[in-house]
Formats: sequence, C-alpha cells, structure tokens
Amino acid sequence: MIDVRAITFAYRDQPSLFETFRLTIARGEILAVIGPSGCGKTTLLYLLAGLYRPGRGAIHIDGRPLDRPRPETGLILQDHGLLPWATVAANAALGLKIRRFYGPDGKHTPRDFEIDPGLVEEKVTYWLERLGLAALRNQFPGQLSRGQRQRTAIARTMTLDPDILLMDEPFSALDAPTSERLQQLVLTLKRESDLTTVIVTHRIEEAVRMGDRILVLARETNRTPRLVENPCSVLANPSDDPDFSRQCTNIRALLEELT
Amino acid sequence: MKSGSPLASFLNGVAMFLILWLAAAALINRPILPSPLTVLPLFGRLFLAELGLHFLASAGRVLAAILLAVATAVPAGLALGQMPALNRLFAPLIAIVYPIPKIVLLPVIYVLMGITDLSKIFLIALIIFFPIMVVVRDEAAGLHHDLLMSVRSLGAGRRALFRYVYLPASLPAVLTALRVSIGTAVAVLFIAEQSLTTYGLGYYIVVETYQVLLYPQMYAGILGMSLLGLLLYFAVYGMERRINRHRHLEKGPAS
Repeated sequence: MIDVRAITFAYRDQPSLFETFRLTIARGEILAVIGPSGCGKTTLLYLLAGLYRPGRGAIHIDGRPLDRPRPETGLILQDHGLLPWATVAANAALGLKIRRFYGPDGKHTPRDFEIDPGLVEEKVTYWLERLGLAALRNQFPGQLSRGQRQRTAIARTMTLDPDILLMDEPFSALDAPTSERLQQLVLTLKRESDLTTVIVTHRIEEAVRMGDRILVLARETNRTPRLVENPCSVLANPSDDPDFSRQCTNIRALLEELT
Repeated sequence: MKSGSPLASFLNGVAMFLILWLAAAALINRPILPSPLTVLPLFGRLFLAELGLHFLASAGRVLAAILLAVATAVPAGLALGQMPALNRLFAPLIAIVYPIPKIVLLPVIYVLMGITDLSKIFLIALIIFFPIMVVVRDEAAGLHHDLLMSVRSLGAGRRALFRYVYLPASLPAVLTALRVSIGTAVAVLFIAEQSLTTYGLGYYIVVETYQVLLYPQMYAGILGMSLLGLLLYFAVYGMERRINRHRHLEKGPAS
C-alpha cells in the first residue's frame, strides 16, 4: 500500500532526518511511530501525506508516486487542525465542501466523487452521530473539550471515505479514559473500512496498544528503520497482560539505546 | 456582561447628546449655534429634498472608496502574509508610508488625476488601504501551520485555501480596520468635497450654507455627515458581531 523508496529529507541548514530510508506499510496495517522529540515523527507523517516532498527518493502509494496530497489520505493533527470560526458541523463538512469546490478533477478530488448537495449533509450527520457529536454540531471548536475537538477532526476525515489515516499524537493531550475510548474508536474504524493507519506518538503504552508494528525513530539521521513486530495490539485488555508489559519494557529499552 | 440592549444604550446616547446641544445653544445664544428644535425639523424637511441628494453623493463616494480599498488591500495583504520574502522586501517601505497622513497628497492627486469623483475616491481609498493591508498580512502570516497543513491534506489547493481559510480568517480584522478608519475616511471626504463639485455633504456644508451664513441649514448638513459616519460605523460593527460569533461564546460543558 505505502512504499517509501529510499527517501532523503532534511530541513534547510540542518542534518538529514532521513537518508535512503525505506519502509513498506501493508494495507489495513496500523503502524505506530515512536521516538524522542525532534526525531522526525511528524515530518514522516507530512511526507506520507504528500505535504512535504523528499529531497531524494519517492513515496509510492498503490504503485503511484506521491507528488501532492492525495484525496484519499486523511491527516489528523494534534490540535489547531479545526477552523476556529466554523461550527463543528461546518468543520466536519469542510473536506466535502472543498471537493465540491473543485469538482471531480482527480487531483484535489477523486474522479468518482459524486457532487450531490444532499450528500454533504447526510454524511456529516452520519459521522457526527457516529462519533457522539450530534448535540454539539452548532458549537465552535473553542467551546469543545480536546477529546471532542479530536473527534470532530476524525469526523471531518471520515466523511471523505479515506483509505489511509495519518494521525499525529492524536490522543496525547487527552485524559486516560478519553484517550482509551478514542483508541478503541480508531481501532473499530480501521477494522470497518480496512484503513491503513499510521499513528505518531511519544507514549510507549499507546504504541504497544495500537500498532501492528512499531517503528522506532532516532534523533540522529534515520537510515534503516527499526521495526518491532507487536502481537500485543490484538489483546482485548492489554494492560493486565504480562506480554504487554514485556513489550513496553522492550520498546523503552530500544528508545533509551537511541538517546 | 449584558447591561441593557444595544438599542436602549444608543437611544440613551442620542438623548444625552440632544440635551447637551440644547443647553449649549441656550447658553451661547448666537446664530452660529441654533437649537436642535430648529435644526431637527429642518433636517427632516431638507433630507427629503436637496440634502438627500448631497447625502447620496457622499455615501456613494465613501462606499466606492471602501470597495476599491478592500479589493486591492486584501489581495496585497494576503500575498505579503503568505510570502515572507516578499514581506521582508516591502516591510520597511510600508512602515514608512503607512503613517504619512495621505490627505497631504490631495493637491498631487488633483493635479495628476484631475478634480473628479475618481480622484476623491482614490484619495479616500488610499487612506483605508494601508490599515487593511497590514492587518490582512498579519492575520495571514499568523495562521497556525497545522491548520494550513490539515486543510491542505483535505485536498485544498491555493484557491480553496484562500476561500476556506485565508478569507474567513482575515475578514474580522478587515472589518475592524475598516471600522476604525471610517472616521478618517469621512473627514477626508469632507475636505475633498469642498473643491469643485456640485453634490456632496462637504460642498453643501461649506459652500452652500456656511459661506452664505445659512447656519441652521449648515447644521442639517453636519447632521447628514454625522449620520453617514454613524451608519457606516454601525453597519461594519454589525457585520463584525455576526462573523465573530465564535469569539463571544461561553465554553460548553466538557465531556
């Protein structure tokens, strides 16, 4: 599904974050990305989203090179992703409105996208209800809790029927119960729509709970990816499980080795 | 935070103003300050006739100037706000030109453009242009990187970003800048209308009434000009309140 082919990326006047970095992510997989701050976690996400271009190499998605944001990829950022002046419903409808604005040009909007004005309202209502936001549809982001804002961002992405979901620290600013509910929600959505998901996090437990595989990034230039297979993610209640704790210890050791 | 309705507060202000005017007229007791009891009925009569035409001419000039200023300042501000290199190049120039009182350019503009409606509109537009361009630039430059990234990830290119992000983000600031500069715009209109025109409140006040000592009529003109400023101010203020709804709301219950 996602094929990162020997990319190199550096910000201006800074050492490379990635050099001939290769990675493949299978359809329907959840990849958790963990690492110290400044290691390029978020940069990797922007690269996968097509928002940044690699200096060398290329990223292919479904065999096609990625040279601009792909309409079927959903990106959910930690905060600041919602329009502060628009209501929850208007924010959730933004992606569909942008698609109608361009029409099915194959570039900003998939070619098979149907421009039906009723469709926008229908989809927005469905996802707001699905994510428990129906009662908040006329509120503004500033009136919401962080968890509600995060759910609004998820609703906005899901209205676009994505096949890839990229999430940057989606649960880190939330309290534990809210964060667990949202993790469960993402797992459910992923199963339902066979979403290929990349979750960036700095929390070890989150990575172990969510990821089919865990990618550990280092603060120096990343060349070969350190990938850890993670069978723990399928466990129903992993926090009591000895394997879960062992895996966490594992990842922690790996992270300490790198810093 | 509510202390009576805005309308009640407005009427209160009008009443206080009229009482002060009455008192001042009684105290000074000279033709140069007629009582509102003389001026107000006269204003009503004149406004339905000749004064109304002067009012329309002035209102048309200010509105055209506002339109011209917004239509040029918003794209300029957006361009500067989105391109730091361009902004670095022009920032020193803007910093110097912005505080110059543009009214001093009146003779230059008259010579270059002729004493026409267009030159009057241009002068007023020039005055409104700078504050609007600067706030639009700052709003555009201050947008959060993550917000732009996530809207771009939804498929937005340059045009959609403009329509769904930059425009709504800078609109409140445009209106604030406009509201603050309306006073100056009307003041400049007053001066600009004194030369070679036949319709306009400035002409009416100075040439048709003041110079021929028709003081009550002059006050009717002054009221007209005040009304123009007031209407523009409150129209912009009303728009501001509407689009700034999200800034005046209380936080909802957390979940």
